[in-house]
Amino acid sequence: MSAQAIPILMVVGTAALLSLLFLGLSGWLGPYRPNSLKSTTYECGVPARSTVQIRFFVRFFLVALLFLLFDLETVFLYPWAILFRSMVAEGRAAFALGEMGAFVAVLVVGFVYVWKKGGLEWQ
Amino acid sequence: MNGPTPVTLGAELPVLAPYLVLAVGGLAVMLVDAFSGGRRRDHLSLLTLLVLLGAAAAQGAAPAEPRGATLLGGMLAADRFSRFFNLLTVTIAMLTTVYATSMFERDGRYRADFYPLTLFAALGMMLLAAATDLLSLFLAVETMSLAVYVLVAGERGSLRSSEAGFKYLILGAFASAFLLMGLALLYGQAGATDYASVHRAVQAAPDGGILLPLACGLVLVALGFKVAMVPFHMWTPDVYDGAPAYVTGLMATGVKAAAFAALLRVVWLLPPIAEAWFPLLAVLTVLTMTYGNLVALSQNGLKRMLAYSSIAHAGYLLLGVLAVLNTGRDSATAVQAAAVRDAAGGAILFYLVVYALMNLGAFGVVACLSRSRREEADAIDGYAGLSRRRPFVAATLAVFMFSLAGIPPTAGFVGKFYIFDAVVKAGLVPLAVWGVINSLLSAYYYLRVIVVMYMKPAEGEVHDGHSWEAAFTCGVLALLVLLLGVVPGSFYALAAHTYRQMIF
Repeated sequence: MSAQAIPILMVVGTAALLSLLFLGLSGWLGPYRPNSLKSTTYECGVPARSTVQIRFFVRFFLVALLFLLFDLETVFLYPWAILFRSMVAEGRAAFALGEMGAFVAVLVVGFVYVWKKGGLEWQ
Repeated sequence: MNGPTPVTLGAELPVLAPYLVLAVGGLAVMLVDAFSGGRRRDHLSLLTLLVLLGAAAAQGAAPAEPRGATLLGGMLAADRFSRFFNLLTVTIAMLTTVYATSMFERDGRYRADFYPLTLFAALGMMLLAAATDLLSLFLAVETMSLAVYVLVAGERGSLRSSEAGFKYLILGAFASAFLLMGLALLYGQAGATDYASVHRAVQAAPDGGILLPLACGLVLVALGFKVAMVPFHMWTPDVYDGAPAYVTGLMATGVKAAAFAALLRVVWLLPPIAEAWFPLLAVLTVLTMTYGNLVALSQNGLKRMLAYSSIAHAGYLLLGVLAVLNTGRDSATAVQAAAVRDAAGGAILFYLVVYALMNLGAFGVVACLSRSRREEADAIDGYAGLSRRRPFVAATLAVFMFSLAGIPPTAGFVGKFYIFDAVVKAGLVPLAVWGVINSLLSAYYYLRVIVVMYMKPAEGEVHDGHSWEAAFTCGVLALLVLLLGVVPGSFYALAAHTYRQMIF
């Protein structure tokens, strides 16, 4: 156990040493001449006009949540689709279809619920 | 994907029926709610009760399985133990539905999401009690917990309810992470997820280094969180207090019973490692009892008092678990050890049922006396003079309080007696003595409620809500508590037999 950990510890140690070394070298050798433009926050694009801690409309959260649900559905569908051929070859086609059918049916019930309850309306 | 996949689904369908009824019923209630437009929602409660009755009927009609039978390729147990907990869960869910509906009707404002969520929570509890696979254990915990998180937080416009739900969600997510880590380590050691394989792997390598004890400890943390064991109890008072009374009743009884069912299977699964944790578990049990009882002494709200009392009762139940664990060590013969273990397991099952009856009764009284959901009958001072205003409800609450305190002739006394008896038989006399002392301590705060109801004149703000359904249900529960207190023998025999038939 501990013998196996030694290489990892060596990598971690070397990484720490090297990064400290470079940081120290650049601090020691590099010139340090700050001005007001240099000490602004580094950002690409348009300069920031206000703080980022603004309030989001809560509906964004709902949409994100719904997106996540339906996105995950496809994530589940992919491995199933890949395995489907081999399951058919084993003669378990009905089982495979039924399983995914049950999953999608539950999801559709949720979808109908969200729809009827007005979760998809933006107002 | 290489293992034997269950193609015998058709043969298992009758035994799976209770779970399927709840799952499909929950979805159906959702759809009915979605298509009901702006009308009243009282048909939902009827439908929910019908679904629960259907699940109970399906459970009753399910064929008796031979010992060792599992469902879905080893995912769920089809034993008497799971049948016992299925029926208990369905009963708890039905009572919860009655209380909730009575409160909704008083407000004239229905909370439709309550009904499907209760069904899904009940489904999770049933699966949790039946789980015989690390994966189904985790999925059951999550099914139950997700529904309960929303139930706790769902009282719209109540800041305390939202706060309680948020706290429960965050801490519960942590507990789930612990559980998942523990299960992953167990899987790493055993190379399989079903309990039977894990058990074999554990037996083969009882001193397999740090991995197994660590895994066992992580699982114990997660289940300890669900049953509110000290030091994982921090959420209990705030959540029980902030959640609406009808949900608190469900949490204190259903969630706890299901988690204890899972715990009983898991400690049966991991005897050598559980032994390594025994001293720590014993200390935590003592702390759980003592902390719950000491802090409950100074509570002024009934719900908060019952929350601390629920911590204390988790301690008594954990005493039973310790007795189960200890039987392998002291007893002279294997037969004797098995007898003591069955006695302890039966005592735990008996106590869980009794606890569910009396606690649901107490929360039912709270639901009955609340004027509205905003003004729940929480303050203990508000119960002053209840014996004159509502003699019947006061009498039932008195029965529940006597039973919670463990005073004969109530079922609470018998349940505690069986637990302490099993603990003594398992050779843990000091723990039993400490349990009895705690029980004496707890009498103070339970009897205080009775004193307030019967001996204090009503003054100031008093609780005077009323609901026929809730009052009737409380009456039935009080009768059951008395009945089980007077003639407990046959039911205890049933509980012990159920535990003996438990498979893993």
